[in-house]
Amino acid sequence: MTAPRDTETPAAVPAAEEIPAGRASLWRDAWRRLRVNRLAVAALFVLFAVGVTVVAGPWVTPHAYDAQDTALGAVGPRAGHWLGTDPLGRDLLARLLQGGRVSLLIGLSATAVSLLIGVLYGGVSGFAGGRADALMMRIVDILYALPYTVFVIILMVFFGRNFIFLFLAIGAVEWLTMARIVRGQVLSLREREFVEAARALGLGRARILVRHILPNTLGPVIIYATLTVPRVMLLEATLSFLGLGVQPPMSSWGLLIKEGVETMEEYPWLLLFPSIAFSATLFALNALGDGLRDALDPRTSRD
Amino acid sequence: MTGFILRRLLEIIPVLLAVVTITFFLVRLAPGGPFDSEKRLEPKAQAQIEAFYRLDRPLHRQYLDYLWDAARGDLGPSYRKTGRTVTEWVVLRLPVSMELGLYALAVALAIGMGAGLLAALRPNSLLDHGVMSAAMLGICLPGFVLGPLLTLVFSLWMGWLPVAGWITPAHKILPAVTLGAMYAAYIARMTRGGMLETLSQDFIRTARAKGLTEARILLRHALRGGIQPVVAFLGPAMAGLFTGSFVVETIFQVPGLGREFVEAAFNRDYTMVTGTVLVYAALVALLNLAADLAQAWLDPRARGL
Repeated sequence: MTAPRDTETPAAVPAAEEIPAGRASLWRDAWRRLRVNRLAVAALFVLFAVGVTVVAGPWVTPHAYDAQDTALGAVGPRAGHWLGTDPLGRDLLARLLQGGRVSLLIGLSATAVSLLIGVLYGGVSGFAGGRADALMMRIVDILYALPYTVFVIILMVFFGRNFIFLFLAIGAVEWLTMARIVRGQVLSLREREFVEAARALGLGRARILVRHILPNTLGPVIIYATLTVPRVMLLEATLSFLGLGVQPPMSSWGLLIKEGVETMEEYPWLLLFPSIAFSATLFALNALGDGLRDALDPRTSRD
Repeated sequence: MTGFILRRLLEIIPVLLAVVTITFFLVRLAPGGPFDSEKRLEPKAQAQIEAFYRLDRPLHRQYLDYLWDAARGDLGPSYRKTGRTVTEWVVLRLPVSMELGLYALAVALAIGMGAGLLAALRPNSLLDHGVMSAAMLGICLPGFVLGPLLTLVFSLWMGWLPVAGWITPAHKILPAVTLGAMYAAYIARMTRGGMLETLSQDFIRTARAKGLTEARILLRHALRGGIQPVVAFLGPAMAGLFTGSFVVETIFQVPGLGREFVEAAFNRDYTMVTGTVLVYAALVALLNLAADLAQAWLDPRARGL
């Protein structure tokens, strides 16, 4: 969907004189536009903080995420247990940090899987063109119509709640939109002069595709990948919430929310803190994705 | 137009076939069958059970039988819940999911379009930013966060509404709001985007030049084009709403199709899983078709398809 320029915040568009003539590469230009988008910059900071905290945090916290203290039981936030403990006496902060590691790891790796499949499939489809393209996209159309959450649930129930399996399953179903986006880009890119030039130089088809065409699809791919991470995290959390994802004593944000719901009447902090961490991270990822879209691809709107 | 509908209906068949085939073989490929219990049954009893459910036949035979039966609306007996067939269970559960979906849709449309219109009236104003931030927050508060939080506040702390169940109208408020909230957020963003795009077009300038009131321009001229993204979104959204949400139905103990599916999956109830998935896929396909038709009706340019 195309939208008029005036739907965007005026601040998001840099004044013409700010751009040094001839030297503004796509990335520098995009960074300039992203930098003035306050929400996106704030999101970037939040994500950076969340990333550093969950990666480094578990090494620093005095409690292990699975260390029980049944004598202590569930206590509210206090010195020594800043976010309180759960009914088994496990430190919520330690579990929250470990859960963040798991949730982010699943989000990133599943996105990487979907990225790899989607870019290759879409690239080959668009580059091949003709009947092969029509056939490959028809397959994507049919796959699109399948109920994925349903299949992921079936996979998790019937084939065991394996960690690696979880993100493979999610990544394998999230690649469809990526394939469509890349294919659309490649279709128009392959008619361009630089591809003709590469062909005239005698480069092979595979080399033209991988070295010359795919790198030029990077903008939309990055935007969509940024928006895929929160979707994957949401799916992981949903599965964990239903008892089908990450299993205790391991921790993930979805699992913590599930555990929090079970005891929310007595120990509301067990629901509140994981909910805040999870929603804030999703918010930041979505805001950053929107910001990147405005910055990298000014033609498309926020919606 | 009839040809278009007919072609689209025919296109649903391979999709449903793919869904049934994948589900059918997926659940049977998995280790552990529905009748593998801890205590070993007598071989004769085991054989009888397998014969009754036709599990003793070769797999391709079971598959073809299932297809033939399903095509006639017979989804087979449930492996776990004896006494009713899967078709009967679907007939029992689906209306509950659809009722919940209808309320949620009402919530989503009322809040979403209202907020989107407000935001589009004064783009980039404080109101616009406030509404859009709230919408973004709505997208980031999934049902399993929002539902329990609402329960905590309105049921446990305030004591105004029941915690779970599906009996009185009061029981239906929280599930409907929880399910509708996320869709409301998407609809708000789409309404805003669509309205802004339409409002920037020439025919709106013409309408303004004619001296029409702003309210008339908005409601009579801009709305029809402005809500098109919403209509396109409604197909998949309605499919998600009407077939029940696994999460919301589980949180609030709503006896709908979504909870039935999750339970069936946990119980390894092959026929129930395959049957509910098939019904789900069929509904999704039909609702998407309905949305496309609605879009063609709203936008004459799309009718040429």
